Amino acid sequence: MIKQEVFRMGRMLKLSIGGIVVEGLLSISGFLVLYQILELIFGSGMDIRELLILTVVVTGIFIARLILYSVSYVGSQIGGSDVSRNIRIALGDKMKRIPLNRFIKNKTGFYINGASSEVADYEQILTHKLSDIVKLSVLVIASGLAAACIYLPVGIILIISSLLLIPTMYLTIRKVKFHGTRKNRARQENVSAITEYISGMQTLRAYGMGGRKNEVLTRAMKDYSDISYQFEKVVLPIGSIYMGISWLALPIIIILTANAYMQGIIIPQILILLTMLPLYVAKSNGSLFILFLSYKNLMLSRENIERILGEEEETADVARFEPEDSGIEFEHIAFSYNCGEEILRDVSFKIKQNSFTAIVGDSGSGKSTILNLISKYYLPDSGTIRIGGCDTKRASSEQVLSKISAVDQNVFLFNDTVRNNIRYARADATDEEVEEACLLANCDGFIRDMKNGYDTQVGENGNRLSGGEKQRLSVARALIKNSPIILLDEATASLDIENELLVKQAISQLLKTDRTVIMVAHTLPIVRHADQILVVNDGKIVEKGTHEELLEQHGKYAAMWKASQKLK
Amino acid sequence: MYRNKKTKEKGGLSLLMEWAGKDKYYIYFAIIASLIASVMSTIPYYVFYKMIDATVKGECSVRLAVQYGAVAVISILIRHVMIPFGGILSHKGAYRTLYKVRCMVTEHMSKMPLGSLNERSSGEIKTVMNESIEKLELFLAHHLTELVLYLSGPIVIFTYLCTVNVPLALISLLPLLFIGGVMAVMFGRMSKYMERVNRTGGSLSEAIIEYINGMRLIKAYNMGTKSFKKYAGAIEETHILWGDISRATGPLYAIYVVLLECSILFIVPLGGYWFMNGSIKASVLLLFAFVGTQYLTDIRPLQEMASSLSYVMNGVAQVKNILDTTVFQGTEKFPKKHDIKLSHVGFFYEKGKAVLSNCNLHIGHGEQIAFVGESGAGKTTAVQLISRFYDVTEGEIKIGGINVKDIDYEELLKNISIVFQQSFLTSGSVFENIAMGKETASLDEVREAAKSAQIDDFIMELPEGYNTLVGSYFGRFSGGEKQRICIARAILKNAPILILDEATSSADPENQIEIDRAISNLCRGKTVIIVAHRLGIVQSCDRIAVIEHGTIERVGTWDEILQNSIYFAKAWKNYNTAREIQYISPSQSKVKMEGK
Repeated sequence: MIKQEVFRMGRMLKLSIGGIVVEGLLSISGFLVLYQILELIFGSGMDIRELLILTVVVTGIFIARLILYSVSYVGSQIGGSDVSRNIRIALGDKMKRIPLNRFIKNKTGFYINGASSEVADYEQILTHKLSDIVKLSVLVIASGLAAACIYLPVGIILIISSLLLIPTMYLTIRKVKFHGTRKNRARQENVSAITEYISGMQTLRAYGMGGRKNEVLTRAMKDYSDISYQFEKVVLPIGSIYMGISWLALPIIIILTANAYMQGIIIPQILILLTMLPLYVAKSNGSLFILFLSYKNLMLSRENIERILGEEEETADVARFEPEDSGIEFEHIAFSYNCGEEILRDVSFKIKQNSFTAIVGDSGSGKSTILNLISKYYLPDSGTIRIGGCDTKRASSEQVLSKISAVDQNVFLFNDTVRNNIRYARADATDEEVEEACLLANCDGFIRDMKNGYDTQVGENGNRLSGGEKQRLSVARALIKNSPIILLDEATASLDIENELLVKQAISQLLKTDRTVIMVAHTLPIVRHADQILVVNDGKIVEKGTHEELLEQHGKYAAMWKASQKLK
Repeated sequence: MYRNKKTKEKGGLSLLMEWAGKDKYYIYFAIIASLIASVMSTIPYYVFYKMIDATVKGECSVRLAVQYGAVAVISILIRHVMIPFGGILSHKGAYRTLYKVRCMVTEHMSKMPLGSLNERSSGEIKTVMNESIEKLELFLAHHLTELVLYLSGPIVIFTYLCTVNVPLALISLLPLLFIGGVMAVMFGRMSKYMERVNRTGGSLSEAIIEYINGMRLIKAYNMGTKSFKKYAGAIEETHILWGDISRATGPLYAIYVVLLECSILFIVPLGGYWFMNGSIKASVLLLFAFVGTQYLTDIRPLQEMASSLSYVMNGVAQVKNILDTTVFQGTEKFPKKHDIKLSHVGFFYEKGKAVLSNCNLHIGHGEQIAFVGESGAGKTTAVQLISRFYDVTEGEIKIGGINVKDIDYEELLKNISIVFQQSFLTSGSVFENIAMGKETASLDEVREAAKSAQIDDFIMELPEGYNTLVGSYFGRFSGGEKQRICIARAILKNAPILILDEATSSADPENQIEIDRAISNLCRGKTVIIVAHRLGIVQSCDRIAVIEHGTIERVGTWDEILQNSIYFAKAWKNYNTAREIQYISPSQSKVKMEGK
């Protein structure tokens, strides 16, 4: 499967991990040296020659370890970084194929985390945890087996002390899961309380609800603190109890071996060697417990990465999306962001090619959602949307969006020059075309006023530009792109007087050529000449028709119009 | 611990312990517990040594084994009770301290000048509150106790080894000498990469964020391949960098790890030699060969601790940075009269770059005045100076004859209502949202305010009326409805001075009329300053102040200003032109601009 392929470790990484394990085995050869010393002490006695040989062997092993570990460690670092790169590239590749309707606010955060910190965490497993786990496991098992060969009871005790790790891990994971979920919930509440506090700071203070007086906030922070503590209180002792039990192997073995020695079953050097083992094994068991726990934690990262890689892909029937024209049709569309909270209900309308349609209604009534559905940023829960007679469900986002230009409040700019940002809309546009579009869109002036003119960097997401300027740039993009459908979200309400006029003039330019235009309008007079006005109220289209037709109906639109005439 | 009275100069970890206050005793006890645990951890080695000694001497017996076994059991039990005990204590201290620090920050935020809060992006404060403070737990709950745990074990063992044989004990310390050098070289090399690490890390996360957040546009402009190249480029660059770093510092780290055990190279030949010429016992040789070559590996985690300690210090610095922001103080009560007088007011963020200069204006008690001017001219700043987001850098502002600097800051904020463009609602109930800060308010009072704000009918139709939770029902409130809830809140607060940062909301016309009605109810009998976007509403104000070129150019009635201010005449014309633009379908050929 492709998913597994992504995580595959390269040869260098596998070799390096092998190297680290071998180095670990060499380090235990210290025991053999010790045993040799024991042999010399209790056996033939020590002489200079044997001591020299021993020293040479010890030094040789040491140098071998030094080299082996250096090479393997570097190799594992590089190999881990290779895997990270492969995962990130695969994620980027995948991201292109995930339908755009998945790119909603909290989800993009998940994707961003996935590609950045989750990959970094996963790399930790490969570069650090995995080799240590394999190494210690091999050593612990080898010690147990070796002891069992020498004197079975000691081996059994060592093996039991290591095997107890399994139920301990099981118990810990269960506790961590339960209390960790609680802790996460408390943390989320804490974060949202803090977010609310910060974003409402001015209001809250004006109403005397700052700092300690804000009970909601202090309670959330206190709960988080208490629950975090409880988590540790429950989880901490489990590991300690296990490690304690595992250490108890030492006194048991001391008594066992002393007994065996007294009965003449084992020789003194074996007695000493066997007493040494539990010291080593108990320590390793403790390390293994900690390693497994963090391994388990880091594996959550891998699960999250896998979840992204496993997301459903856009299934576009590439050959089929050939709209006859740029007319748009909604048929019984229903939509909700969250289950149960319907934003649109049974919305149906037809928009003729090259006509001008306005959508009016209170903010929050679902107007902008209609535009987002046309762009396929969201998919309807039920119903069909057609462009030029073709169901957009069957088309890829690219295919649909290639027919559409959108101008709205959320202008996304790349961290690039002004010129390139416009040219993204059509890669083969000449400099002259770019500048002409900017002239028409009323942005030539402010662009030339900037330090490097068209070659000025706009900063991360255009943070060096004002909202009005960004909107005009998006108009210029739409002009350059010259697509048959234009979606406008009249966002001039958030602009000051100067920008309002400039943006409106820019949009007028955009409307001069034959295109299908759908516009969400906040003021009525601006769209009174539209070919069709859709009046949205509470997720439904309550009226539709031309200005004159709607006035005659004496319904919602007529009331709105009457009110708008009274507004100053 | 030595206490430094001058808190300001205190930094880093001692400051952190000061924040912990009484809770630091939990941590001190935790340290004692881990010290005991650490000492206990050496006993099994001692027992091991005694057993070898007995065996070598031929004195080994089951009775002796039981005796030493019992000692080992006791030490193991004490150690493994002490470790979780210390851990629980230190976490208790740590989490209580985190709570305290969070409270300190939020409390300080409630006293800080609003201006200095504005300067920090809310994202930055959020990061400090959620992440930086969380990092402090590392030090309080882990570093201190672990430091003791990792260090005191080897120290106790070394001391014991000294009692057995001083020269060999000293030899067992030799690795420290070598690794010191290796570490120095390693950190030296690493620091050369730091700049590249920061730069590459920054551009990687930027590339990832841009690629994902920009996905809609990427698809709209069919530039998947190009954007992907940029994304892949940043990843490749990171990959190359870490390759370089691994090659430069990896071997050193590996050497550090292995060298910690290098004393075996000296202990085996020297110990062996001394054993042969009879100056040490066999058991001593064995003790050093096994324990003496291993005990230093316990300090290996210290290297990681050193690097995570810098995170902690960073966190402390960030919190301190917020807590060090000066707080406005003032003792005067809010005056009874509410006229506002600006004399020679000037303001700058940076010296030499004045935002406002020499502003003079007298707003009468109960007067309604509108501030108009180009964006960036200083309207908002002027209003912010009156409500003391910032302090004037020149001149003075008086309310009812008292300098705003002398008025108790909390009093000042309570007596000035600011209605913002964005409606802020908490996730609590509608009732709580309107009664905010006035817990004693009765339902009748709240409903009265809601009626004035033209929102009572709407609220009564909600499933649970005034008890409806905003949080669970958020999507259902339209912009206009949210705004009217905020106005109801301001009406209930009934502050004598009102600042309206007027929202050109995206409400539909009917809603807008209700909002306008609500606002005029709110304004009744108050001293009002409107920062106007819709010039139409300005007409009903008593006077207009035109802010241009960083000062108040003109003040006067509508007619006076329209005649005298070139800016305003033009703005009024543009405003009307913009309002009269009517888009026309492309098929209806061209845009029609209807004049009035």
